Amino acid sequence: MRRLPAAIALSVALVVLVPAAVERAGPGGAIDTDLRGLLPSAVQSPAEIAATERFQNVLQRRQFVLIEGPERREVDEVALEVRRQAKQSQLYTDDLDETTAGMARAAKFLFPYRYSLLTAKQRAAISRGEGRDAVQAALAAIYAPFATYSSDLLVRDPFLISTRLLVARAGNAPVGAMTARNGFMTAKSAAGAAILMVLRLKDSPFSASTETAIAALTARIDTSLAAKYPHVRVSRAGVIEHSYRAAAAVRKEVGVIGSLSIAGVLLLVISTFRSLVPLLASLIAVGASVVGGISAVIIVNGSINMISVVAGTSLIGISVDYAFHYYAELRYGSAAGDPAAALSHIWPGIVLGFVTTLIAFVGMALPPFPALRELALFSGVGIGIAFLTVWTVFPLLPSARGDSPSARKGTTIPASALIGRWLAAADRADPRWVVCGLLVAATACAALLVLFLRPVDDVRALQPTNDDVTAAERRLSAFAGSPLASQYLLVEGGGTDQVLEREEALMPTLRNLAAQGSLGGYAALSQLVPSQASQRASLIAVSGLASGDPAPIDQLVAAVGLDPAAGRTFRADLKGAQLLRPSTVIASGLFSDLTELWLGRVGDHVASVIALRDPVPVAALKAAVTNLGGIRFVDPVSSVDTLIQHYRSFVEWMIAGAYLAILGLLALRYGPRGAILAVMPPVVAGLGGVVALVLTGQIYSVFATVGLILVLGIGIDYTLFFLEGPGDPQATALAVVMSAASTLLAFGLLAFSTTPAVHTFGVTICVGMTIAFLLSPLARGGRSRHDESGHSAHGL
Amino acid sequence: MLSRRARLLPRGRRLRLAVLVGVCLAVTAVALPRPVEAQHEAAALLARWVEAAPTSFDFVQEKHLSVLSRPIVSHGVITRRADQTLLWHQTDPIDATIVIGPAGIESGAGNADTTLQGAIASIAGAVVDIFFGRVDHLATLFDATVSDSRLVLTPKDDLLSRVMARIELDGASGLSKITLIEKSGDFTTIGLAPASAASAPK
Repeated sequence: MRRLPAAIALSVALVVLVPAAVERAGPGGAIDTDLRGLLPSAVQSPAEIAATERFQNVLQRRQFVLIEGPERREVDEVALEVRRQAKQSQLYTDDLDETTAGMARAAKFLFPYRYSLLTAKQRAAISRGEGRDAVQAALAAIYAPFATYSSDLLVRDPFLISTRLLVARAGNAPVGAMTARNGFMTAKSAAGAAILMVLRLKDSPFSASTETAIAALTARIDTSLAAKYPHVRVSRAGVIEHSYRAAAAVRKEVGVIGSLSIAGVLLLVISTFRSLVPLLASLIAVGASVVGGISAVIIVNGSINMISVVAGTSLIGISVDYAFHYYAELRYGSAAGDPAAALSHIWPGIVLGFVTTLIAFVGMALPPFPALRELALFSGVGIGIAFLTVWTVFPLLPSARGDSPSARKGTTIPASALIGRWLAAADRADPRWVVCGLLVAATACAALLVLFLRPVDDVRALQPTNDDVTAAERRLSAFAGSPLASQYLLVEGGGTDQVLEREEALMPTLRNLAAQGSLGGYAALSQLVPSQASQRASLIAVSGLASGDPAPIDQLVAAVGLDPAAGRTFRADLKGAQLLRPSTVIASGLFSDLTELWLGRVGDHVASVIALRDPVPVAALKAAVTNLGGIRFVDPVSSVDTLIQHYRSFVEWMIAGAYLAILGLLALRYGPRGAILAVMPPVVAGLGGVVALVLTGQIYSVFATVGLILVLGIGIDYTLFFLEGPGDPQATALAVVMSAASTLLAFGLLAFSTTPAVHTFGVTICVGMTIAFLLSPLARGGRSRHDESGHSAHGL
Repeated sequence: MLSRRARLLPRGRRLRLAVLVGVCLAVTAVALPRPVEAQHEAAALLARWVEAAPTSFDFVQEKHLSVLSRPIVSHGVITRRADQTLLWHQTDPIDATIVIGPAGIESGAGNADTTLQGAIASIAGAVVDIFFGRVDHLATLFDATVSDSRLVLTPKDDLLSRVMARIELDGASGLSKITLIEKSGDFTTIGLAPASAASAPK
């Protein structure tokens, strides 16, 4: 009865674990769908970490809505309805009406700084011909068709400098590239009229609640508009569009795969044992291990990724193995009807299997790769709990009907003839030839892989894509310019002004590259807020318009017919002109697209980001920044790819190391031949799984290597059970058959996932586990020395 | 219920008062502008002007600002193009050419107050709609009223109405004057006449 307190302790531990996980997850929910959260952080310096986070925040929360149709009126009405429903949903920031009203507010904010913010080109134009050119330019602006300036503006800014400020300072940014009408950004479209809306989400697009709400809002809007405006097309792009679709697909997959897997396993248990007790035991082991695994990950990480949950459903395949072995022995083995004896018989196999699996999971957790660590933690804790459940709970459960020795009389193992032939075939083989055959098979597979294996470490190839969203992104690119690239330039300096000056120093190069078409565009805060030196130069240039006899300002006032007081106002405004600082713009809440690029003080430095638009001439930009201090070209995706490659390679070596360690460990117990017979089936199985990927043209990535770890962990269990199994090999074989069937049910179904990362994982496991299962009885050839040495059942 | 004063009236006068009120209500109802009818009238007037419109107009633009002692005057030629855009060629005192389409100024000089850019695009687009008689487009931004040979467009768009009070279009057989009246009281008149042979584009 010493197991009862332990079982109670395990239950209490789980009861404590779950609320702790819920508490740690907080109100935002614990399920994360951002695949990037599973990837290693490629950046090193604090500035790069801050830049990447800020940059992703800027990019991720934008949602682009493109409304196109033959009739401008219908397009306007649809845009108004989309905006109304978006506002009502409260999912977006409050600047939904900002398109043109925001421009007006921005212009009003910049007006006091109008004489400080000239571009170098504007300064040169003002200074030419001692101000005469400036007067002519002002007259041209005043007389220009549709130059709708107000009386007030003409008095306060006779040279109309402020009117071109935003456009001049925006460089080639999208500001001014489209026309504002009716409160929307509009442009001509092949379809006729078009409106582009840029919405900003309040929360992360990877939050489950945001994804659900956006999916519902999109469906509601589309349904309400489709009937009324059949000729208007609404296209959407942005991270949220990928995110909520991917989340829906993964949820569907989890539902289908999880349900089929559980249903399959339940059917397997009931049909084999014809009792509900093994089913209850399996459910306790599976439930406890899954709940424990998820809770542990949430407590450690704060959340668990959807991909980990999908892959974690594979835990079912492992944790029910213990129940299978226990009940196969209890019902059909030599210890039938005696729970303590049954547990005692299978205990060495379970302990060895648990230890070797744990070795694989610990190895998986060694590299600082979030995906691997999360899976290792999930699987490791889950397996540990399943192991403890077998020890503490199983013997306490009532025996199933038919487990008593009397009831067992006349009971035969299901499919015993087939299992018998399978075992007989394995037993007929000469162990020496089996060792040779396994080594040859492993060598042949390895040779094939050396010749044809082309690993894919591109993170983009591992993420699911949606054709509709990709098509919408292409249309948006044609309409509003290319999207922001994932690469950027990181500018660092000792102070604010040094960073702005460094940005300014790079601007001519960026302008040239953009003019040549090799760079799609760029954006930096210095386009709006020049360095102090540049602003002072602008004030000096404008001061030239107030000096001389007659001064250019007086010439202009007279030419236009303004009150001479306008000249005095000009001089007074110039005298009181202030310099604009980044902190002032940030505090205004305006120009968020540019201010979000300003990182401010990071550690000892001040840092900012220059955003780039596709295409990005990587070599030219790297060459350009080489000669400029304090600027670095950062390519997070490429860095992540390199890291993924590094970790894939690391995991491959780690698996090889784990096999060697297990080989050494088992050699002590079974001798060299026994150890080789135990280890080689999973080795051949793992290699076979990768060969299957190559032959079918699938991606071999770091996620496939995770599959190889599991092939090692589970595959070695099979051989160990055959090596350690008690007298009746059919009972062991039955447990291995059931284990393999349940594992294939879980993992085989993962091969049907539309997420490339999960798919490649599933295919590797599916093929690998099939081979591992079929070859596992060959390990029985290593029993002779072990049996001779007198080792058998271990006490508990 | 009739008021105390009405009850004090003799029966015959009460009847006459009721008839009078009824007539007044009927007249008022007839006189009240009805949107659909106004739009039909605007469409008819614009159609008449467009039918009579030449390909090119000589124009004189006068911009009246409260802060100026004299209007800012410019001259030029407006040409209606086959692609439903306007070629706006200002010849005096500064030579400038712009192309205006339904979405606003498509190319050429565009010196405008940034705060007014959205409104300018709408106004420029409206001018194009006027020259090509596109009432349905105008109806998205303006309410239209017609009296005699004058069509008045009052902005209903929020942004536009912050800047523009109304647009008045005058003309008997053809459109002869456009007046853009701003909220501030400043206004611009564009006088139109069929282009002389010398000024019409070759």
